[in-house]
Amino acid sequence: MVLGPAEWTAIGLSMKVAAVSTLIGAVPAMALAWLLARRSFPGKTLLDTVVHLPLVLPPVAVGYVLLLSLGRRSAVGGWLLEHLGVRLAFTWYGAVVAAMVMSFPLVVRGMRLAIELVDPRLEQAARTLGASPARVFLTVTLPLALRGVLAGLVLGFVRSLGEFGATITFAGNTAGQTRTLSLALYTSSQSPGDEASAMRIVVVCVALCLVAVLASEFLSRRITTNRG
Amino acid sequence: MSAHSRESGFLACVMLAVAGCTRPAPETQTIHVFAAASTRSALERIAAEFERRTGGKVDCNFASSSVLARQIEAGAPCDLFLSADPTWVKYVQEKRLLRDDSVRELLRNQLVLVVQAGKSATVNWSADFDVDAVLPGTWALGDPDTVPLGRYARQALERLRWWERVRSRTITAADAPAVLRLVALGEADVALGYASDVVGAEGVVVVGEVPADLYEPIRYLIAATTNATPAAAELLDFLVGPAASDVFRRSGFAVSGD
Repeated sequence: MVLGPAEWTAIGLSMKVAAVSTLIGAVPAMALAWLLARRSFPGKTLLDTVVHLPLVLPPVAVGYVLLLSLGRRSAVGGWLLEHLGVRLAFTWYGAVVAAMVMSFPLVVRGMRLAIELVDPRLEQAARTLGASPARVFLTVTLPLALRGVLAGLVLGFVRSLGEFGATITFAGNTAGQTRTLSLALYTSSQSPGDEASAMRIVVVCVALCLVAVLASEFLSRRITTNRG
Repeated sequence: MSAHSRESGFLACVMLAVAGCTRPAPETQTIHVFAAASTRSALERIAAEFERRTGGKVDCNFASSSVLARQIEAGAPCDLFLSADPTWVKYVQEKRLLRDDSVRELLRNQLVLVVQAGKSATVNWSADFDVDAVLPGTWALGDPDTVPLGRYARQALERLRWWERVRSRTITAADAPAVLRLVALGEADVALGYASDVVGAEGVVVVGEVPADLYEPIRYLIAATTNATPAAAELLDFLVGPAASDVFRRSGFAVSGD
């Protein structure tokens, strides 16, 4: 099975968008996950709901909301364009934003679950021994939760790879810029006689997901043995 | 019985009950029309009028002609296919899914150059025209790879030698009305759209009609599918009749045979 240049471009773009969106979203997701797992505060349920919105809303609706709130005419989008010359909508930055927003709830859920499984008494013990909350997090909570945190990140990465609705609405479908694998698949299926290309892309998607899952399994096993 | 098999039995019963709830057969056959997105406002009005006059039911599915052709090919229920591109009609015909004797040209359309409302530009349709200076910013086009509007637009731009200058700042939309929406939303500054989409559109203003010799004629073909219901023939006759032609003309189309 030989891949054409358009397909290779789509693969490269998908990897780039998914990697960047996972990296950028990791720290905010971690912060929110810790907040939701370890703290009570007024409005916690509301925050939890908002975090989960991209999971339950139709992806195109999320894309449209992004367009209204980050497009050229919006406050944020306009500011970015005027002061930094950066345009989010209809660029690969937009594809990153769309992927990040859509995969965020999954990453937060995974991380939150992992943190909740860490025995809080261990954290309390570390506090009584004089460690600051930050030190407790970095040296006690995170290492113990690492496996679940990793699983959450991999899930987010794979979700970003497969993102379609929000991407095509907010970032458009420009080859080389925003035509990720799912959009390339959609485009091939819309052109007469391009079914072979569509099938090739499906095979690539399956292969990429397989690699991601295997890598995550390998890494989580390494973490467990290192701890023992 | 173990708890597990009781659970499975209950689930099986629920699934059978749900599957068994079929809707009673409709007394009037619904006529399914698959039509190019650019015909939406006109066709919805015509369909409503048809339903009023005959009591029949019309169900319209609007999308880019390429999407519709694929849906018909995949077996979606369709009686009439109104395509903005003869290429896609030929595609479906080759799959032996259309009644060849029913294929006819219904409408024609035109390309227009559009900018945001409140702005203006004087356009000179030649290769010498400084398109970067007079029409800067982002251009919105139908996707040239998948949308007929995009194909026609690209033809015109290539003939004008503007394509190379404009393509790096182009964003694409999945169907014709979406192209103008991008300008209205402020995401694009210029667009090449159908004359029919501009009628009644807010937030955009036409600055010029693209000369017809720069692109192939935009011909909307209509055809009945091979398994169309008999009622579809009635709707087809209505669509080529004077009442429907009037609605099409008022929506910015040119009716074939005029």
